[in-house]
Amino acid sequence: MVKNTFSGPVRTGKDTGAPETTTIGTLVAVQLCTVSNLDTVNAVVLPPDCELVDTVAYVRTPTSVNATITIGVTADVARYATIAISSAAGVYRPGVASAAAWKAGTGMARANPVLVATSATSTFDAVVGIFYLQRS
Amino acid sequence: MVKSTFDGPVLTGRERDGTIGTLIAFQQVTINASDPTRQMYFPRGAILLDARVYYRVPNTGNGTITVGRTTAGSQYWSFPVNSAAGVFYQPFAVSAAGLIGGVVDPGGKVEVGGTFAGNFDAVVGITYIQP
Repeated sequence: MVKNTFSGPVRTGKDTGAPETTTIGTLVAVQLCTVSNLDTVNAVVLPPDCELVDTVAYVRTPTSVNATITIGVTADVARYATIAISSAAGVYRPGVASAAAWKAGTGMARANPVLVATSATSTFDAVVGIFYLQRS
Repeated sequence: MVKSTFDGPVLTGRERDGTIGTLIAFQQVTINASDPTRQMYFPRGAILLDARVYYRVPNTGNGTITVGRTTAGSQYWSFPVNSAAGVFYQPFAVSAAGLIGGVVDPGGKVEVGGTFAGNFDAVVGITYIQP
């Protein structure tokens, strides 16, 4: 099996030099990590100068008590996203983020690693996806 | 030098196994008080998947961000503008008539526009696949 690893961004489209016909887009990458009640803080290491696009949580073992997953420069502050988790397995999307860190960075991750943490204390397990663009 | 810009779709999988998938691409533009309407250009036949807005400077009044063939009609998505700072807002409405099958207009142009009062700044991003 051929594996292609690019050290920089991968783009698709054409750059004609004219804005009306230039269709360059950047391919989205994703990194996954898990958090659980036994392993409440984890990290993904993003490339420098990358830009966050989205986050999602796939809850495999739901918690019996509502909890949150936070994604940010630190686990408890400067969050990029907060995902509220209820007592059901499934896919969860972020609500409104406390965007102080994000705004300051105009969308860019200001630090790597990015920490992923959960407040769950009872049995809980989730996979968190962080989608991003590599810029350079 | 490894080529990292492709003028066609970037695929993954094996054709003989029927497991070919297309990697997702992303484009974004910034709109703000001084530049409230922007155009994005996609490849012919591009299939738009999703849109999202990152509010960098929120607005104290109500308003709307629209994404579509034009900002006035045939909208693909629309987003509320309000006073909450934040990112990751999901669209509150999709007028599917503008996006049947997800295929962008033949011309490939998508217009992003905001109606708001006062200072405001946001990044609007669209995920899509190249045909």
